[in-house]
Amino acid sequence: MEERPEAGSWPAGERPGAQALEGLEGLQDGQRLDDEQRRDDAQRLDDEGVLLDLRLKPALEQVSTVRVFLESFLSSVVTNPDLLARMTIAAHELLENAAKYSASPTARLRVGLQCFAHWCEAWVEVSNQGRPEHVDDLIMTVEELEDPTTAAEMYQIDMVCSALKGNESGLGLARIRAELEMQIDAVVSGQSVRLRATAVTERA
Amino acid sequence: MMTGEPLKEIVKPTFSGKVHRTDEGVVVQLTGSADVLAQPHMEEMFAAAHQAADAAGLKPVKVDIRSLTFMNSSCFKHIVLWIQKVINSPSESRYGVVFLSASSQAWQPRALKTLTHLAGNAISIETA
Repeated sequence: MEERPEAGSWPAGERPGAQALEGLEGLQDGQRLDDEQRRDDAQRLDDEGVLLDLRLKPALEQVSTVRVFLESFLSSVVTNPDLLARMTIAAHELLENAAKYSASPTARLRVGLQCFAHWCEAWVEVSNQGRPEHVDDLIMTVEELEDPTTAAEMYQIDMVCSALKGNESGLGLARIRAELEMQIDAVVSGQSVRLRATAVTERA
Repeated sequence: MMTGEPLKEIVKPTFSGKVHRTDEGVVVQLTGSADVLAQPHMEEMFAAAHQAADAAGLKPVKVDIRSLTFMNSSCFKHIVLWIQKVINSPSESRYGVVFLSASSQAWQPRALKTLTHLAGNAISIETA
């Protein structure tokens, strides 16, 4: 029987879309991709199981409206209530971050689902132009959250320490990783930020 | 049964929150979507609950989230801070916290599991 992979435990190069992600992630390391390769990689990533592709100006007050729409939109496709909740909460947290920290008002929300023999991969992705002062912090946070055990500890610590952060909770990404058990991938090129939260679940 | 006027009441188009006394103790009732509109009011509601719980003796505070469809991490933070305050209270004034959840709200089990990890025996969960 096919073993179900957990989000975050994919063998190198075996995760669907891994090549495309790795190619784009290489930009963080200063590697240069020529324009054609970058377009091909981005296109391959774009086409994998996309259910929704939306451009919007995510004002904070409107994020819940988008979440409610997304829940309604996905409910006929994603029949697992837990998975649906994880996807919509992740979308909400990512969009709130985009609304708070964007350098420009527009963002792109994409949602996808791919099912294989025994498991499904669901993902939510938000792209935006980040403020320079937040981009480095973001990369560091995503790296720190990579390990699920560390992520759970970070979430607990962040929650306890969150009083020190005033109105900015800083909990959104940790919540996605620890509570929703979704892997977070960040693709950063200059100020362009693309965050993808991925859940792997058994196929019903 | 509710007794007297609510200790705190917030009514927004998509969210409402109420803190009130009952014969069994203090109840915090949250309804709708706890997002950016609810965030500024969460701290004051749980401060009111904490104050009322002190006055009510050691009766548990019930947090009714059965009709709460969503909570963002910024609002969740205020619940965590309140529970921390309860945990750090002197044992003679430490009260219990009971969450009333609904199985129809798919987001709640994971959020409550997180709280349970954090608070241990300080909270209990009743799911309808």
